[in-house]
Amino acid sequence: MKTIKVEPVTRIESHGKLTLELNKDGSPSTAFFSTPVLRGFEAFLRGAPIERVPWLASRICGVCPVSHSITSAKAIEKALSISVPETAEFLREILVLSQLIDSHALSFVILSLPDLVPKDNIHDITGIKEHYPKFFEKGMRLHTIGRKLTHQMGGRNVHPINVKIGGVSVNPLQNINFDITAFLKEAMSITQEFLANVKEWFSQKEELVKTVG
Amino acid sequence: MKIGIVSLTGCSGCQISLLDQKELLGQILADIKYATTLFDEKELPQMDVCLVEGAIRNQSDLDRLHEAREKSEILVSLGSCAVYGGIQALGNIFQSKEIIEIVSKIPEGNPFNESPPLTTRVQSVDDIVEVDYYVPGCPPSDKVLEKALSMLFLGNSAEESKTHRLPVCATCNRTIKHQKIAQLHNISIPDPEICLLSQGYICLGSVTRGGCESQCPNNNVPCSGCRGPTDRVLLKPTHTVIRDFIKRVAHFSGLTEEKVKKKLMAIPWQFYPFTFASQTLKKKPHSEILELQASLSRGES
Repeated sequence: MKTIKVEPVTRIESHGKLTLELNKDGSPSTAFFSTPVLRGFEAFLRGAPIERVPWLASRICGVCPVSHSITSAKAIEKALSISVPETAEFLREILVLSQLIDSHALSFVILSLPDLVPKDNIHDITGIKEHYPKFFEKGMRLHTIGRKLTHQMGGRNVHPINVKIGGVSVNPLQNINFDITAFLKEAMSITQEFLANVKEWFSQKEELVKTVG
Repeated sequence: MKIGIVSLTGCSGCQISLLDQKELLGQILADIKYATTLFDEKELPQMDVCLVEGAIRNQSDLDRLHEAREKSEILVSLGSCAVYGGIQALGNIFQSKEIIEIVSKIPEGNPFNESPPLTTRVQSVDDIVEVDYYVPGCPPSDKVLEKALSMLFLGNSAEESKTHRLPVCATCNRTIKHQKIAQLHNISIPDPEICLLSQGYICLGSVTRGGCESQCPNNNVPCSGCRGPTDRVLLKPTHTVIRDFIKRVAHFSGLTEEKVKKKLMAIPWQFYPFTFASQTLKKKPHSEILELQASLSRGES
């Protein structure tokens, strides 16, 4: 039996390691994907002052800090039977959705797109920049829109601070210096443009697309 | 110029904040020869500038850091994990086998079976190899990054930043109010205009390096010290985060320093959440880090 190890797995969010075991005929028998970054949040967050946990738990991941921040707050709220006001729930939801925009832009445009476009000699985002400059610009713009929204709603550029046990720390819509609706409309039109093209690209790469989950 | 981004144990948030520097990134994208988040290259090339994010938590971090130092002309510690050990350094409260024991009890199964062996303690980058530049912050703020990167990659002159030398308080919009602090560890909803410290919140702004535009206190959240200590605390032997903080609180509250210390040390966890592994802070003559580490390990918090 042969074992293939891929480490580091590249163009993914965060760290990864892939271990494949092959049968004699070369077909894979097992595939194991692991995240080899053990830090021990489960251990050292014990005994932390609860009001700080949402800001510290967000440090679990710099790509999806919002999720960790909000889930840790929810866990504490559940344990202490604290209910969150409806307005704060809405503001948290906008925060989560804004992260979704930037995270999807990152995952799709920067990490995966190089594999999905029809040209074969493209391996990473520099290839997109060179051969599909229009989509590079649009993808970057989509990412920027998501990042700007997350920054505004979360109060900080990566790890948000606007999630507080019982609600949010501040109303992030008070001091907003851009038109949030115009931003969302622009994000929507960029996404639609991508979708329209993706269909055509995929039809040219049917074999590859079948292997993508 | 050949640029590499090496990611050790951390959250990769510093790389995400690099992506926010789109204008600059557009100019240097072709020069980046190694960055596992963006490119497929798996072997570290020879580099002119290597940005290192994350701290040293396992054997693989250690190996990669040594390799990165050997292969780079200039090595930059990017973010508080690289500079001070970051949040995972709180794991130093435990022995590494205790961490593994706790994590292996996760009911959904342990996803860390394949992790490289943990080192005995978390270390910052400069604890292992020589570092040429430091860019602290969790993550570094947009303005700091822009300045640092344009200096490193575009050859812009290093502009002396004043706020960088001052504490977070320097850019905070709140007003200091000398009033009797009713509760030293206040967790209720703060008044948006008055200094958080004068209201009894554990706001580390006065002992934390500025340059972040005081985003936390200006958003009604006390500073948690993510950018590490000010030059004053870092460089002057008699100053430490806790000492300086206690002095200030005593001054505000009218309580004696002993009383304040007794109350605050009961919740010691929050003074070094990002800098617990820092040798610079640990080796100070009056450092409380070892004392804290001992008391937290015994479960006295």
